[in-house]
Amino acid sequence: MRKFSRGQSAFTLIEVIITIALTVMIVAVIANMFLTQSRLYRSQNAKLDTSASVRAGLDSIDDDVRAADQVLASYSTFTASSQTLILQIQSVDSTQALVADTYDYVVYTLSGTDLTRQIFPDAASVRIATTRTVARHVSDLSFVLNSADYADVTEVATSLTSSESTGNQTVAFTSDSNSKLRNN
Amino acid sequence: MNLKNSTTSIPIRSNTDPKCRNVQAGMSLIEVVVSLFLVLVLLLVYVAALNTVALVKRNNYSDLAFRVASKQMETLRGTPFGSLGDTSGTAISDAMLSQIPSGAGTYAISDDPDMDGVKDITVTVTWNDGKDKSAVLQTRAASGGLNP
Repeated sequence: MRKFSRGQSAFTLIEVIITIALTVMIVAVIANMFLTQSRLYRSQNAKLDTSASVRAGLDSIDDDVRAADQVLASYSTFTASSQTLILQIQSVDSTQALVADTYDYVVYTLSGTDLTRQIFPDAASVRIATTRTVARHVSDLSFVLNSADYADVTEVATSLTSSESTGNQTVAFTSDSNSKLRNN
Repeated sequence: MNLKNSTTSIPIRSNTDPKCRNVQAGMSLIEVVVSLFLVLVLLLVYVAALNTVALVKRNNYSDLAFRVASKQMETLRGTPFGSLGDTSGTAISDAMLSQIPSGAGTYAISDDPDMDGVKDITVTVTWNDGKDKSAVLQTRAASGGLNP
């Protein structure tokens, strides 16, 4: 039996202590790396999320404002405010032709922290009645119109902020855009 | 186990040197190379993850820059043709520019060299995220529109 004839020397105390110390150090370094990494991952995710949200929200608003005929002071149960935008857009039929004197209504409003886009189409319109969330985690929203009289509004300035908390920090992204009503 | 074989495979170490009685097998080259490779891969993954930080930042800057440019363009497109005075570079003032490192913007209006009564409008936003970057939007304007 080779195992015993050699005589095995065990670890000395010093060796064990050094090994444990080294292991602890390495584990600490790796754990720290993982923690940093996961924090980074969450904050980067929040950054992408907020900026994508703001971008999608503003793009959607711009598209609708450009197509709009008029900004309204109220529609059905909605009343226009700095956080509610009501647009009157001429209807289009299934051949993409405009329908005379017929209008669809698009309402942007906050529902909690979600910016929603609701469509109320005319019966003759090809547009579908939907409610869609266009931006999430909205912490600030303002619509500024270039005229106090809704009938005279030709330009809508929108400012949108989306912010998300990632535990130890809050990530916010703000952007604004101007768009003109093309159809009047 | 065939001891005879294992001793003949390392004849230099297992020879008569009395100090060398406790023969320790070292790591083979393959083992070292594989472990180095693994460490390298882990480091690469870590560095790649760090790169996304810069990427997200740069992406946000260019997004903001294009917003600034398109806002200015929207304003210019809404300006009556008669009020579009020629300029070789008027600075854009926009609060969003302060969110971009060394963000600045100008717009230029000039007569189109080929067509009479048509103006070329160029909006430029520049910034620096380590490299000089710019966003340029161009359009033409004519009295009554280009497609009457």
